[in-house]
Amino acid sequence: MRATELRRRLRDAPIPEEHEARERGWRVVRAAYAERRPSTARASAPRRLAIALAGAAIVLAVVLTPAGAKVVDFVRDVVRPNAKEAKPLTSLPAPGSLLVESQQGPWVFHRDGSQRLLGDYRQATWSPNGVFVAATSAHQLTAVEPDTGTVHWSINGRHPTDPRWAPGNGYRVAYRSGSSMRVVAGDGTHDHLLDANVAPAPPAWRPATNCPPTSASGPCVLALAKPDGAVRMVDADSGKVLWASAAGPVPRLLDWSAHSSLVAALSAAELRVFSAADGSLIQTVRLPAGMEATDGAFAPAGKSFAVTGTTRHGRSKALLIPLAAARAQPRSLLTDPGAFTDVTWSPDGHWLLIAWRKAGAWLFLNPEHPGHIKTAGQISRQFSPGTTAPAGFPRPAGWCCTQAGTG
Amino acid sequence: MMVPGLRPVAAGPREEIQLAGETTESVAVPLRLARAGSPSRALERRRERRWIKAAQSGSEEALEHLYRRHWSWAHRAAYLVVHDAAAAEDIAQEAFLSAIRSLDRFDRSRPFGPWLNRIVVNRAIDWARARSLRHETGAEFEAEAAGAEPAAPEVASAVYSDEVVASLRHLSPEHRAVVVLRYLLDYTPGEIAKALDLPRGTVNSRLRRALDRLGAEMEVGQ
Repeated sequence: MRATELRRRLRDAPIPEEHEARERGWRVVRAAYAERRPSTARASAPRRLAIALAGAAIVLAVVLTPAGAKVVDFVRDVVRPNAKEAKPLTSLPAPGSLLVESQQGPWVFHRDGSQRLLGDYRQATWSPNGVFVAATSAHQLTAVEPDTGTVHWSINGRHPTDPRWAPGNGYRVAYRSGSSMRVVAGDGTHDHLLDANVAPAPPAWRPATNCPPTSASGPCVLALAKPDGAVRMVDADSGKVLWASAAGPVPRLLDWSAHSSLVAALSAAELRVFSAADGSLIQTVRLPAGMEATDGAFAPAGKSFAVTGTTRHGRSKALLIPLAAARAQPRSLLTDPGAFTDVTWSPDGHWLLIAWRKAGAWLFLNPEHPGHIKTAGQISRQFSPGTTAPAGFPRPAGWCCTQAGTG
Repeated sequence: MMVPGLRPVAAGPREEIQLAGETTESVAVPLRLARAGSPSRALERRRERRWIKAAQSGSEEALEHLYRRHWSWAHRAAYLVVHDAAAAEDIAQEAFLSAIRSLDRFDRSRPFGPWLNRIVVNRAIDWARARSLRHETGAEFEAEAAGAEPAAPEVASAVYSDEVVASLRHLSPEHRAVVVLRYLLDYTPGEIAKALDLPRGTVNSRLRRALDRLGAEMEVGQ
């Protein structure tokens, strides 16, 4: 075969649904283009200089005056006045892929800026190594491949929510169905009831768990919240309750520290921290007065716990609570108007992704350098291309592979 | 065995390939296939620059010209590397979405196609590698989804009407990519090296090996 023949055959080779793919592609591209805001003319050089001088003056004013935190908060608002106009997310500041829940369904966003809609699902969670995503729809729990959206298995159930894939071998997926907690094997078999009466909070697998258990890993353990606010540690295979805490405020979420020594239960106004070994309450950290927690997560390493929440005055806070200390004092990372709705750690623990609904933006914040913030804007448009109705604000649902896949 | 008549580094003038003229339909050939310096090529480049400028200013019509000019090549290149129709469609779509996100910063003096195709081919290689890794690591798969039936590779059941395309799937993604860039998109080895961020010698050796393997596979298939 000659070169010309090879060229001809490569150009003429039939591609399945070539025409349909082209037209589908055009609809997606056109919708994305319609959502794009054409760039405005850049400021002239003298104007840029004036802006720079004004910015420097503000920074100096903050540094040199004793007004303290209030001024810093003010400046933080001022230096991000155009978060709504910020560029869409085009990359991630740390390795990994982000799972995003949107009105259209879950997306997988890769570090290089590519993104893929997985399908018509509601919630999603990574498998331990990011090989699969467990996603829920009205009556199904489905395992799909994140690269292709290929459905691997699905089970029918009544309103499955809050799926969490067990770490380690990934042999179990826990999920809520109404007020019950259920567990299914990683291949979609052996779906069974674990607890018939749980609080509306996602379960949390012990990070070092292997399911089925090995002699080294111990039992396959899941933390779940009860309607009276008690936290229970349960063997997911036998259903045996390993320990149960006293009742308390109903947790919104549960999470494990990186080395499985602590279990945290975040409720609206406080964070309770339990010993994972026996369930003893180690400490209770009250959030600042008037703050209501919206989300929280343990750092992938160490014992710091990040919390986002809203305050009485229509503002939001992001805090970092160092739980290694005997009496943990929350450290304020960020304050802005509106609501911080979700927080997610990067797998390397260097970045916190905070969803800021009011600005339609996501903030990437390095807790070691809280002033160093990367802003991605137009998040609703980016993850709901082609929709004209106001879209629900997309939420990050896991930066693979944090917390051994539990996102 | 080398495919008769094929040389990895073509030294002679490029084949004369019909230029699509004014059309922006998908049947148009890659812009670069027009002879370098030819009036047709210069005309096409000027027209593409106008489209890019207009698209940057908000013209959907100009964007559609660009899209229809480049989609088919991007899609086809992706398909020939990944051999999966759905993945190829996604890869081409994502490349265009990337282009839209970067449109304001795009340097109009540079051609659009090579920039787009670079994204497409690199992403296709990544996808194909990930796919093959998944098939190779059955143990990992089993650990993650105990007892589940592994999904059969789509390529295994696909029916190819062209034996060249069928034979391509026996090559590694990296080898498929150089064949696609060289013989579908008509890149020179130097341009392939730049697109894939490889030494030129590596490109030449990959081309040689790819063509040898392609020839062998086609011989087996006959």
